[in-house]
Amino acid sequence: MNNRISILWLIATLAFNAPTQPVQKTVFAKPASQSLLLFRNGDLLYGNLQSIDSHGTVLWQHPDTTKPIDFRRDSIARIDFPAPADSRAVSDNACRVLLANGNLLEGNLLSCNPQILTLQTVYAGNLNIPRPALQSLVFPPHLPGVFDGITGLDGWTQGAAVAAFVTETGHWTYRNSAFYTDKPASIARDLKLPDTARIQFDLAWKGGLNFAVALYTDSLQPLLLTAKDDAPNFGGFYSLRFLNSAFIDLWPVKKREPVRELGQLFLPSLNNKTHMRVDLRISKSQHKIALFLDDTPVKEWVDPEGFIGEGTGMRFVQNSTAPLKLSNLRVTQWDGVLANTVGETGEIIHDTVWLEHSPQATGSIESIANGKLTVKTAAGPVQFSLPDIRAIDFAHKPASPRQPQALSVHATFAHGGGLDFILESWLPGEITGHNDDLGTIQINPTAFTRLQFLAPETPTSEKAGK
Amino acid sequence: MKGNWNHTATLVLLAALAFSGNRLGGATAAVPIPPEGDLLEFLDGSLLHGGLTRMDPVAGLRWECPSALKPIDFQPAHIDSIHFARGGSAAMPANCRLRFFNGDDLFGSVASLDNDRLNFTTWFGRDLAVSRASVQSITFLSSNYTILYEGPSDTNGWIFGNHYPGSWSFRDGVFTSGLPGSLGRNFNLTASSTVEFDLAWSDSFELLVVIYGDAVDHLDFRNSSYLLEFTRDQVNLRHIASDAASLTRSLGSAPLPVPPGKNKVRITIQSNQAEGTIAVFADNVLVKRWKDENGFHASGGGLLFQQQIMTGAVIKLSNFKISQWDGRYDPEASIVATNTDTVRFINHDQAAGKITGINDGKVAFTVGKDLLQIPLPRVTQLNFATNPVPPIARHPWEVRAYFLSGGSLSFQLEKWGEKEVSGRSAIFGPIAFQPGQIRELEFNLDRAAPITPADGNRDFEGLDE
Repeated sequence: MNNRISILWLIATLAFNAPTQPVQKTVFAKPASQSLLLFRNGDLLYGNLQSIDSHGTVLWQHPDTTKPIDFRRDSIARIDFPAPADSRAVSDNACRVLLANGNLLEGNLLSCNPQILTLQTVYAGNLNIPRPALQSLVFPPHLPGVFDGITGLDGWTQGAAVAAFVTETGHWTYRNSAFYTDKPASIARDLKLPDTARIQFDLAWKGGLNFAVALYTDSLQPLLLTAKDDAPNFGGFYSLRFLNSAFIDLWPVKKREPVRELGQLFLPSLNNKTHMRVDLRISKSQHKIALFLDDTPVKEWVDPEGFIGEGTGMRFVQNSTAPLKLSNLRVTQWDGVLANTVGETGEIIHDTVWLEHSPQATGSIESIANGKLTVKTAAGPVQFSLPDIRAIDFAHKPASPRQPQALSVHATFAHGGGLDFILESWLPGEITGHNDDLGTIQINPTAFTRLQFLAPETPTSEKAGK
Repeated sequence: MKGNWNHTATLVLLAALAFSGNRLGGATAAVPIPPEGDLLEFLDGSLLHGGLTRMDPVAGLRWECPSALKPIDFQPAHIDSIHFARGGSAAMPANCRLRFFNGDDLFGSVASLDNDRLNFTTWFGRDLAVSRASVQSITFLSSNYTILYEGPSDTNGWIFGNHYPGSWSFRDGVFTSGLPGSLGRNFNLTASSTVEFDLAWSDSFELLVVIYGDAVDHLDFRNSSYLLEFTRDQVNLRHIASDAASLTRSLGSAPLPVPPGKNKVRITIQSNQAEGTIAVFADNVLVKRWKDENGFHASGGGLLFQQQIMTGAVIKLSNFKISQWDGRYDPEASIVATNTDTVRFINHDQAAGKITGINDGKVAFTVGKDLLQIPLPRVTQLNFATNPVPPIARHPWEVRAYFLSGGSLSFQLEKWGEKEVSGRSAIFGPIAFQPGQIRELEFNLDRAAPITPADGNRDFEGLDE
């Protein structure tokens, strides 16, 4: 297994963080409770989904129409729903299950036998998952949070941005669990960043994204990198820079030392975005900073000269004269490191049980029941208590690609994870669909924040006879 | 065991990917399709492409779009505008442009003026009589005034000289650039010209505009042309000589009068070949008029727009109007708010007094006790004393139409049909014209009031998703 490509991080912590705090939305023209319909041609329309029927008609309620609008499903790219309040129950058996096809389910582990794993969920009742469809399962580690959400300006230090080209400066304002600015401005705080940290925040912007984050800084005042040696004394830090809505780079910055570049990332797709989730996982001991955007790993930097961050604070610096919103800032300790992972094509032959305080056990899991897991190893059956288990790798074959059907969708759960299925109907109280692994499923619609329609190839205009 | 876990773990729960809409279990997201048709915009940022089929205050606005199975009837409460995907310009004989205190403006021909009424002809009506109190200014057009281009409605004829992905792109009548690159078009300018466009920006920017250039796909310093450098704060004019050995010659710069917080301005560039002058206006206010003491020297007839810097600034260009004219005087592009009537002359002089009439090709103008009869060919603009208009409550169906032939008119819509739009104008009374004359229709006119610091939160609309 060690020959597998290792590009992914063990991120057990992220799977079990406290749920994202619901954002209190500022209401302008758009009520916060509205959903958003995004069309394949780039159009968008706020309103509320009434239903989707088996023929693919999407019924959409708009405040300026007396009757719901019938949209063609094949014209729609996705629907975003308002985030619901967290309704998950806390359980000792709470886990996340990754399927071989990439789907991720959250629930309570009820049982497992050689054929089926049963997951109890609040959104779809009990799900029976065939063993061959399983890839892995992880229980939540219980790591303490360091900083959990923006609650006001108290404790933060503001400063005027000093970047080149800045012609006017402003300040950050607080509103509804978020910071806003529309002019170059800096806001900083000693967040007591731990040595291994996960830092998450949401950005939303208009115009170009030209934004910087100082990591592990001991200074709460921004500085002009081109004149840093003239600035008041400061300890080393990392500057994560978003430039031109297309480039991202990471610079280690120390006084009286040349600025180094650890590598630039070119992401032209940023130019088409107006918001994103930034997720950093940092290990001082390994000199590593990994960047995830919208939950996709995009870059891992390793500082060959060692970790130079000398503080435990962060600065957020808007360098544009353009509106920017910073929200959902969360810092947690992070337990993960770069790890081996699933092979490119290889079949996983054995189950592996990862334990909190003992070496892992490899073999074939025979059962999970009554709080116990039994695995048949080369040395014979071994039994573990579930609280001692951290994670499980299941024997499985790589999933083969499936051709999307007319109503194939990918639904994103409000609290993480997602599920592919063929949508049969969407009604206010229940979604009915079919999943190749789970069979017919009935799901509470409020479980989802996004519904993405998959790959119908025929343009709408052709079907419309244009 | 943690150390072992950290270094040899084979399990990765890739929650990150599963969180994302990007990981779709091996399947792919729906393929984007290009937008078609007109564009309906809402105040909350919603957008729907399609077509307007009918509209009236009872039934609402009927919109047909390929995404919907049936036509949709909207009420106007949250509608921002409709942009019609038609370009070109309507041929229209006119010798002047009339601006009204309520924001309307029209091209037409003045027949007469007295203390009470202005009589004129415009493209949708002949021998119209309006209250003189509604008229803000009359700008007389230069001879042989011709509109060469209004748009863009598409990219036909435009050349993208992109240097980076993410540079110039076109959508819904707007060219947008976030990275360096050029955008050009040959308009075959041969005479004096007026180049107008809306410029919007998100951040500090640098935009080069080459006028009368040969090359429209790249910056060319080998042929004679003029180069305007726009930043947020100033504009600079240079002459590019055809002599490769010569450096570009700076004619000087001027501050761009854009208030803090404003990020959009209407730019007008007047090039007067006979006088050897180039004038730039921002929102109808003169920024500077340069005179090339060496005479007007340019070898081409094209325009080139070059986005220069990589600071993350996004700039947008829209609502181009390119016109050409003869003669020694520019069409007036500025408006003067004044407590008295003023007359502006072809030599750029200005006099204050009382405009008492227009008849037989002459302006009757009283200065002190003297009554002057000024031939119209000597006048470029008449500005009328400011006449405060009390605020009026807007009707939900009060709209402003922007015409292909230039100008705009607000009116209370009564009916929009396939062949005719009808309504009632506060200035003209009942009006009717063909819908094909309209390039944009704006709703909820009061919401366009300037943003004050108190409601600056509007800047953050759309960030609260």
